[in-house]
Amino acid sequence: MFSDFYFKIVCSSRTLEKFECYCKLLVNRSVVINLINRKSRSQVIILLNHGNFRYGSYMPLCLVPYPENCTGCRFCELVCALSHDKVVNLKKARLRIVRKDIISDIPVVCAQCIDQEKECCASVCPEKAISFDGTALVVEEEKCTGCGLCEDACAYGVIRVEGTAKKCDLCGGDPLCVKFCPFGAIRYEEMKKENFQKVLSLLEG
Amino acid sequence: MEGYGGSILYIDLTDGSFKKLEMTKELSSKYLGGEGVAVKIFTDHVNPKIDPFDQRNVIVIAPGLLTGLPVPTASKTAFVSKSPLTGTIAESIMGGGIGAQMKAAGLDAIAIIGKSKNPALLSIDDDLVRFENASPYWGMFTRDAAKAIKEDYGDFVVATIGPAGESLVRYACIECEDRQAGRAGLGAVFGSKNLKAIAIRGSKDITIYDPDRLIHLALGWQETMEKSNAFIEDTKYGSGEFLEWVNAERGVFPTKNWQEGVFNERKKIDPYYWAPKYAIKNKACFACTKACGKLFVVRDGPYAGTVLDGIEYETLYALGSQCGNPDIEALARANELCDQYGIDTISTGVVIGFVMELVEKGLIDEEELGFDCRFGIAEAVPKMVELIGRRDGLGALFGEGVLRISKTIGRGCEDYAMHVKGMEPPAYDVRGMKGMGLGFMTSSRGACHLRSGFYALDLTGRFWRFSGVDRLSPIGKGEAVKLMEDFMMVYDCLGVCKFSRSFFKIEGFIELLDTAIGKSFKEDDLLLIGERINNLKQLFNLGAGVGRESYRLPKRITHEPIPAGVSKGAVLTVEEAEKMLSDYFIARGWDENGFPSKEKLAQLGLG
Repeated sequence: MFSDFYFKIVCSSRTLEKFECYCKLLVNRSVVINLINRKSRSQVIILLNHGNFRYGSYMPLCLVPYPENCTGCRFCELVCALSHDKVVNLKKARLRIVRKDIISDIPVVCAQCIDQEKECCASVCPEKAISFDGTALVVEEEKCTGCGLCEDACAYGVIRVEGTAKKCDLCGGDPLCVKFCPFGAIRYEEMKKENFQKVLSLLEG
Repeated sequence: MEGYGGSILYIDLTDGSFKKLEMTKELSSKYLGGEGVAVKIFTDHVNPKIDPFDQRNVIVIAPGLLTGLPVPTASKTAFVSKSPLTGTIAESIMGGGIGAQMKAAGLDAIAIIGKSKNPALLSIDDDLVRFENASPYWGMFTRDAAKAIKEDYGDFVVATIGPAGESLVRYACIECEDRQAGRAGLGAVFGSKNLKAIAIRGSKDITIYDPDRLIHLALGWQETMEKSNAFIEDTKYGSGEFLEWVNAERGVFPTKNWQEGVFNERKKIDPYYWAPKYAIKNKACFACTKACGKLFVVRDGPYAGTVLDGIEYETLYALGSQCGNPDIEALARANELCDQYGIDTISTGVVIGFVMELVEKGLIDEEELGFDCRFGIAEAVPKMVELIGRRDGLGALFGEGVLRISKTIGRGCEDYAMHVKGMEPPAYDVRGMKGMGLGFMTSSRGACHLRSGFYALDLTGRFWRFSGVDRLSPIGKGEAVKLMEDFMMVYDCLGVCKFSRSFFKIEGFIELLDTAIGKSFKEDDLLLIGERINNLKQLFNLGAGVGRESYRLPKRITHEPIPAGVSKGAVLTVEEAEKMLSDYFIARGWDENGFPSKEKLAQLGLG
């Protein structure tokens, strides 16, 4: 199938600034390149233009929920738990599908609250154990004390403490939940805040 | 054991006791899981002679072996009990999330015996088993009951009956997450035990033999499915996508209580017409990435506010063509009411069509009924559903099913009472599909298309190991139906949807089972397990009094040819039916009355 795949270039080791470049490739899996070096952004863009690639935005990609497309099958939860914890257990998934009634199946995913306008797992962590690795906000297991503050802070209820905190790591840039959703209820794309707002209001309503 | 929950829960509603036994290796290797395990437990505990509403009847609930695991379309949970409709062992299989929660609570089966004094709600929260008072929910519609139970007890998955199950409508269903264990009236077995609902949730791990490889295999199957035409059609139009083709190209879409084989107004109930207009998104069973369900919403008109997960092919026939009903909105409302009252749409529709014919023939007084109820009167269909759901007036009789209605009314109407072994038939006019006709006869739960799944062969001529199947010929059907029944049983044991039969076939399961539970099977091992279970069911049915005459098809099928369309003139004569049945018994190693031979039972380890 012909689809959008992406290159990911992380430049500048200090601030971990990141941007994506989309290109259309006839390959069957996504390609991730992490360039952690001191090249300036413009230099990287020149490099990409030279390679005939069109670059996209500077926002990191994240999971974006589309509740109107969710069939409520929960396959995403099953594969998420199996790939991360090596067991089948819906409760261990790093995302959840909330079935309110016949009409609404709500995919609730981690927003990777990177811009940190409000409290989130990373901002409340007293050990600074949750940080951006160039793809997602991930937990550094050795720093985490399992205090559970992150669990309380998460607006979506998708971080869980079992010994240490467990959260969505976007499968290192190739999220399985997205691969198993042919209906586009969860997509891997640029942040759409309105979709997360919608999820929160559906959960409350 | 990898892939399994690990225990079997036995519940006695009479004294509120329960015990847990281990799910043994022997049970898993001889019966896999799902329906197989349920049938084994059921037949071990129930005397075939008892009345289905006797409190000694047992209902066993068992998720398939692959159910709850990330295998695309492995969603099914089997309910097995003695059917109030047929008096035989009957299985009813649903795609709701109950099975996955059972496994997460460590359960491979729940067997329920006895009768609660007061309306009961069985709540299972991992290891905690509780009997709660269900009086507040008694009388509630299925959706309302599930919602209220969730509000009162928390985030459980709820399987519930509706008012029809409570009042013992013989074709009442069990509903979970807007999916139904529809056929054979097992909702009435719940009702007879004063069991309104089961609320269940689990948080335990299910271990997998090779987790990474299972994800890899699942991805492969997902890709295969997404590329198929079936995926495109099912996700766009649902299971009714081939309705036009069955009418125009095969002429076997039963219409007006099986008087005709083509529905002339089919365009109005064809999903190619209604899906773009009324379906607002796809809905799926648990763990199904193929989503043939549609969220159907009626926004205005007399049926405004109708919302349901549907409309399935079988329902388009039962509440549509069978009643001569071309109004998709009335059909949708009738379907929604069936779900809400908790009755099987197929049996309900066949009953309504039968009543319409009785009214037209003057055997039922329309005034007593209180409204016009003839073929083609769309408003009559939802009205009839309510009458049956509430068991009001004549609804009390109609809730007994076609066989018992025909016996009560008599005067020759038995000839067009459409049923086999008491169960109303699905949407395949077997006059033009003879293998399917034999499938209706031999199915353990009466007229059923899914025990053998033979419609796939009769309609297309080829499937799996078969090719060049002539739908109008009775030759070779005995052996073919036997093999298909054993094959389909593997699906019910594994909990995989039969709509995936052209993907996994049987060879696909060998790798999946190896990966999930670390056990290697051969194709023949799996088919032998299927055969063992089918024989076990037959032994129960023989004990329940099933004899050669029980396999009879309705007279309309054996004597009245299809009047028009591609299959014009087709009829399945008594001679053909008897010949096929004899062939089938021979293929099974059974005598002419259906008793398995000693050698056969020994071969299957049942002797």
